[in-house]
Parts: sequence; structure tokens; C-alpha cells
Amino acid sequence: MRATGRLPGEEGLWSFIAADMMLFALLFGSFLSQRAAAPSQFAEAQALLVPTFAIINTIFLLTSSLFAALAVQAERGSRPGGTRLYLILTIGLGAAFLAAKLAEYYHEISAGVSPASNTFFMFYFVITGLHFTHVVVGMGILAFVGFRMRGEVPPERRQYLVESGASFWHMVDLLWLVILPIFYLLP
Amino acid sequence: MTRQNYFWIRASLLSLFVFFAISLFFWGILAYNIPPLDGSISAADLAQHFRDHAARLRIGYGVALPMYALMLPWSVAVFALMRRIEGGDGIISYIQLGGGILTVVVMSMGNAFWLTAAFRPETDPAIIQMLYDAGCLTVDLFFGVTTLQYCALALVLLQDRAPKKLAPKWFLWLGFWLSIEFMLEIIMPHFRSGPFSWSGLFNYWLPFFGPITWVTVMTIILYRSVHRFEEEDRAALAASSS
Repeated sequence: MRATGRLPGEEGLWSFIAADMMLFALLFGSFLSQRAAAPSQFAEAQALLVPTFAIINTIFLLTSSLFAALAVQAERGSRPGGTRLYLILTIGLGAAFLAAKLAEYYHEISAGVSPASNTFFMFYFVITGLHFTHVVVGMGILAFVGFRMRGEVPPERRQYLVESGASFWHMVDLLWLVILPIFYLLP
Repeated sequence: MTRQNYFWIRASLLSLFVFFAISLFFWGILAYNIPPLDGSISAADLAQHFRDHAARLRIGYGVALPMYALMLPWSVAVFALMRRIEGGDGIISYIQLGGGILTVVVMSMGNAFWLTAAFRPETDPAIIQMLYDAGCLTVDLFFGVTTLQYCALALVLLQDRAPKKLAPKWFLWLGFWLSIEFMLEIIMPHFRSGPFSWSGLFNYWLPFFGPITWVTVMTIILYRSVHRFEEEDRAALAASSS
């Protein structure tokens, strides 16, 4: 079963994804405008972050997205079989991301940092916290997809489910690819 | 349903616009809520605001408060239309109805706190501030009932099996998003200033105007849908007569 010229998965989900990305765009824009107003304060705060955590989390999320894409390909027939395994691997790496993120939060809070510390950390905790919630929701969606694919499910339905779950997961990954540079990498 | 039933459904749907107009003027403009007071306002400044504008605030909040009841016929009319789509023993329509009723209660409670502050503005500024904060926290953090209401509405309309759907899927999924977006309010109690405070972009403007716009369009869609249900009833009556 090959992909045709259409939106993958549930069409309506794409308006959800678009709205979500616009919200994050607003958040990122607010952060960057505040950063432009107080660059040295933001640089000092940024120095308290540990980039190692960010690198590890990027590896986790990018790899999980790879497995999500492989799950879609499996359903579309290019790589027959293994959809459930790919979904499990995607969810597993999502869980690894969450564990690493919690470890990072613990490290920062132990160092005396909190959302009330300054504007940088206000945005940091809100945006990464919101992203954390999206990862949890994404894992839930993928788990639901895996559950719904048990038993006799028509191929079109299977493809629809997997594409829907993967679309949301890729959005979560894409958001991280913006979070990474603006919080950890921007000089 | 009879012609009279449909008349009251239409009238009840339109009651939302009456509510919006009254609320915009009395709560929004007279009571200084559009734009809102800054979340970082001190107790002394807030108390002075209530003292300086007491009469105007009492009129604004005093009229807005009972008018929240106008959201109730809207929820009931929506429930009646949802039952036509959901049918059978479905319960999702009831979730919308329950959410709608509780939303009226919550919004009214919040306004009651603000009206109380305006009732005796000569009170200790700390008390004025606590009443004001209580109103803001009530209105903002009880979002769960409204989230359930809008999600239920979008969910049932997604189940519409008619050849010509009442609303496009993308609009209904946008409704899901807007109702879930309220969850950003969870962080509001942690900030007294900035974009995440009660008066900020993410916890006032976005959750205020986004859902209002969606509900306005949804009301127009539902108003126009009444004609479809009337046609269905006529067709059913004609079929049973023949």
C-alpha cells in the first residue's frame, strides 16, 4: 500500500498540530524577544544548563522519530512486518527522554534554580514542561495505536492509525529541535 | 420535534450572542477587564482602583453576574442537537450539558468575588486583593468543566454520519485543541506578572479570545443545522404517512 497525495492519518489532527505549533511559535517568539531585551542575564542563566542532557535527549528523540517513520513505512508496505516493534521502540525512547528530562530538572532544582529564578528559567520550565506533557501524550497516542491494531484490523485502518500517531510524534520531535538551539545553543 | 421546539432551540442558541454583547460591555468595558488589570498590581493600587471606580464596577459586575445564566439555554439547545446526532444511549451529550451548567456556575462565582470587592471598597486592601485574586483563580482554574464541554461537543459532531457534515473535521479538531489549550492555566498561579500571569498573553488573551471565536462560529453552524433536522423530521413524517 503506497502513500497517495493526501494528508497522512487523520486529516483533522493536522489542524490540531498546526494550532499547537503556532502556540509554541508564540512561546518561542516571546522568549526570544525577552532575550533580546536582556542578553547578558539570559546568557548567565543559560550557562547553568548542562548541554549533555540536551544532547542525550536529542539522540533519544531523533532515534524515536526514526522508529516512528519505520512503523509508517512498515504499514505502507515498504518494510513489511514489525510495526508493533517499531511502535514499542518509539515509546521506549520517549520514556528514556522523559527520564533524562526529569534527571535534568532534578539537577537544576537541586542547584537552586526554579521558574521564579528569572525570566530565562520561567520560559525554560514552562516551554520544556509543556513539551514534556506533549511527549507523554504522544506516547499515550502511540500506545493507543498499538492497542487498536491488535486482532483483525483492515489495512487502511492500520495505516490511518499509525500515520496519525507518527504525525503527532514527529511534531513533538520537531518542537524539540527548536527548543534545543534556543535554550542550549544560542550564544 | 415540533415547530415550537425548534423555535426555542434557535432562540436559545442566539442567547449566547446576547450574553456576549452584555458581557463585553458590562464586564469587559465598564468593569475594566478588557484589557485586564496588570497581574503585578499591588494591593494598595488595586484597592485604590476599586475605590476610585466603585460605582462603575458595581454596575459592571452587578449586571454581568446574573447574565451568565444566558449561557445555560445555549448549552441546553446544543445538548438537544447533539442528542439528534449521538442518538441511542450515548452519554457524551450529557457531558456537554453538565460542563455547560458548571461553566455558568464557575464564571458566576468568579464575578461574585469581584462584585464583593466593589461592594465595600473601603475594606483593607489585602482583603480587596484576596477577593480579586479569588475571582481570577476561580475563573481561570475551573477550566476543566469547559474543556469537557467543548471536547464533548466536537466529539459528537465528529460522529455525524450525514452525507453533508455539520462542521468540517479541521474545525472540530481545532475545538479539541482550544479546549485542551486551557490547560496552560495550570501554571497561572505560579506567576504574578509576565505572559503567564492572569493578565498575560498565554493565560488571558489566548484562552479568552480563541474559544470565544470558535464558539461563535460553532453557534452559527448549529443555528444553520436546525433547518437540516427540520427537513429530516418532515421526511420521516412523510415516509410514515405514506
